[in-house]
Amino acid sequence: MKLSNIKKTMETIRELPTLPLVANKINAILHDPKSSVSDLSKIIEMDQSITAKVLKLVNSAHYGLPEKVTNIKQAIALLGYRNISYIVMTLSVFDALKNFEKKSYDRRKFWVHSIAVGILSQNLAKECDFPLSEDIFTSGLLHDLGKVFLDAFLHEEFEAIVHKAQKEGISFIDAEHELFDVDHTMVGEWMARTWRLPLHVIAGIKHHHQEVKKRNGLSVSQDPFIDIIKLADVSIKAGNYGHSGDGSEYRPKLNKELFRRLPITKQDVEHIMGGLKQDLSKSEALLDLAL
Amino acid sequence: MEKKHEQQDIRLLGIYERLYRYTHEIVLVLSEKGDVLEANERSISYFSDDMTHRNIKDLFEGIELSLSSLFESEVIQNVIARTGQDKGQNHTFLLSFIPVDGVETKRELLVIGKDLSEAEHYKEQVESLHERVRELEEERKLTGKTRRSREKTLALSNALKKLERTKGELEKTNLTLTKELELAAALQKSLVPHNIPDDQYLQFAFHYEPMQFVGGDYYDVTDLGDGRKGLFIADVSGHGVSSAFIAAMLKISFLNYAQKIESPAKVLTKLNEEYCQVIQTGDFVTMFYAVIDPPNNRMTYCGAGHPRPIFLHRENSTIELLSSEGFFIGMFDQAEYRDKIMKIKSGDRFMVFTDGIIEAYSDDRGEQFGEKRLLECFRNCSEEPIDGVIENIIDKVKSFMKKSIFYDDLAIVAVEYKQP
Repeated sequence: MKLSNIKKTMETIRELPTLPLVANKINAILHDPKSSVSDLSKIIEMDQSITAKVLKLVNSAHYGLPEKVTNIKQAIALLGYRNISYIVMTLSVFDALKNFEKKSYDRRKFWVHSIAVGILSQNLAKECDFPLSEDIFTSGLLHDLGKVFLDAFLHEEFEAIVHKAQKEGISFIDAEHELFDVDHTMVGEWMARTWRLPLHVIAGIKHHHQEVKKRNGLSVSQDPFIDIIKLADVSIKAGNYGHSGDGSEYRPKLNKELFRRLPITKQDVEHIMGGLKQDLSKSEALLDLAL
Repeated sequence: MEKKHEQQDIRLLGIYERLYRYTHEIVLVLSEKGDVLEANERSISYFSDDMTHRNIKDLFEGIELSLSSLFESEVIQNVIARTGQDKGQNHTFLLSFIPVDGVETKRELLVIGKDLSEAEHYKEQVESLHERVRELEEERKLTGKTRRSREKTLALSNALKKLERTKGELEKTNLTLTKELELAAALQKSLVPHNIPDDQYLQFAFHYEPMQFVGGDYYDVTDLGDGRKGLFIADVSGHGVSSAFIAAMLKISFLNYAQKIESPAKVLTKLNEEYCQVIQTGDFVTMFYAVIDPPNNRMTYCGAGHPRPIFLHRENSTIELLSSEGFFIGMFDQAEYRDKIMKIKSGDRFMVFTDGIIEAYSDDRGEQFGEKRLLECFRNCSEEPIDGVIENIIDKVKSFMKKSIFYDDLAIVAVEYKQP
């Protein structure tokens, strides 16, 4: 599978499916210094389906707010402009992905893995005193976006990778690299850029399998938050939460390199993972919205 | 022709000089070792002494990186650093180190610095006030309205007053930022040609309207000699000063390569190689470049993720969308581009545009203008002169949008191969 093949595939599908319009508008006003909270709430409220989903999610145990939220303006007041924008963006991505017809791969297990990485990334970030843990949650949640695309549009290649990984007990990415010269991080990066997802989300997708010195191309490439996402991904796989295409006998190792730039230890991670099951159960609403 | 380029260069130089002088960001030129060779007006306001010949690591705390290593990787490094106690004040800066390779054997570093102090300060204040308001709301719910309500109301009202004041200060900062955006918008507007002269073979018409904030659209027509013309259009995703900068750099690169390289695919390949290193913000650039050769009745073109141009074959009145397979610029440095060659005849016409036209949105109808409507317009105007076509299309787009807010630039260029 060459890079040019992906583009050819795109031509036959006409183009990468677009995000719901509300997401594009959100992007535009986020960059407009003159926009306000009421602009944001007006735009969201024009899309009834997204509004309903945002309110459902905001009122779920995932956010654990003390009172019921009945409108978008209230949601923005409680959670902030930035967080609500991310919620809308994430729900838009979910909707776009649902329209991808083909899926042989257990979508539920995939999203359990992704949500778990999101939650763990956020908790690790808080432990490390990193700011903007909501950003890191979104980044962790969408890190494997490319796999969904491969499953839908390069289905034969995708099956070949999953089959090889299972047969040889290796990881999805190792199987990818043995078979092809393009991998799910490149495909995911392309999707994320085309959909104009935020920079840190693109960075999480692009670099989550790379060693620090190999990461470049984005202004945040060397940022340690990516180490958090990488660590979370490895930990979630080791803990067997969900499934993201690796062979069932594959056991990733938590090596020292993962911790080198972070102010936490292996024991800290184990301790934080203790609370993960409970956090995951609070995120049922998010999982429902993805499926 | 050389004189024209000289004039263009002088003009661009003038613009950059003004930018260098008036920008709110500090701009420094350093030697390879980090000594300051030049500093703009803004930087002088931060450092009381004469800055030249001092080392950047003496002026700022927190610069750990090895300066010479920047030239090896050709990557722009961003560092957060603080100024020392020079004026008794501490400022936090976001510094971008950009290696400049190619002034003979002398290697220099360009440093652009943005003062983060104010923004950080207000951000922290707003976040803590936000937190406090939430705490107070929770307490109110838990402890009931009557208990210590007067104290609570007073505390809440004080917090709100403080929030209002901070909001006022943020608005002032906002105003400054808006002024900077206006400067960038002026720069961007100056990049595109304000008229494109016709020649014996081709007639051009265009419309360019940047919207509320700075976008990154750029188009150009360049004379390649022997009756050939190069038509180029690009759309830098994202908004703001960085998009305008990238569009400006693209203009220079494009004008440089177009004169030396015949094949549009090779030009796009060169631009892609360069911009993969430069664009670090997750943005991307779509572009389309066509070399129109009327004396040989031929057009060679190549696109990079750009909306497909629309071509009318006059002879049989067919309309064709010109597709090409290239990826957008700025992401995959191994991306491949291939030329497509087609025959053209007098009477033919074609149109390039950026996605602001297709994506123009109508709140009433809840949909975008779309490729279909654009094709229809183009087809319906096939007998009208080319500038009439552009006017017609822009009118239709604007009346489609009515009062809906514009989110993107409108840029469209049409070419007619004149009939004898």
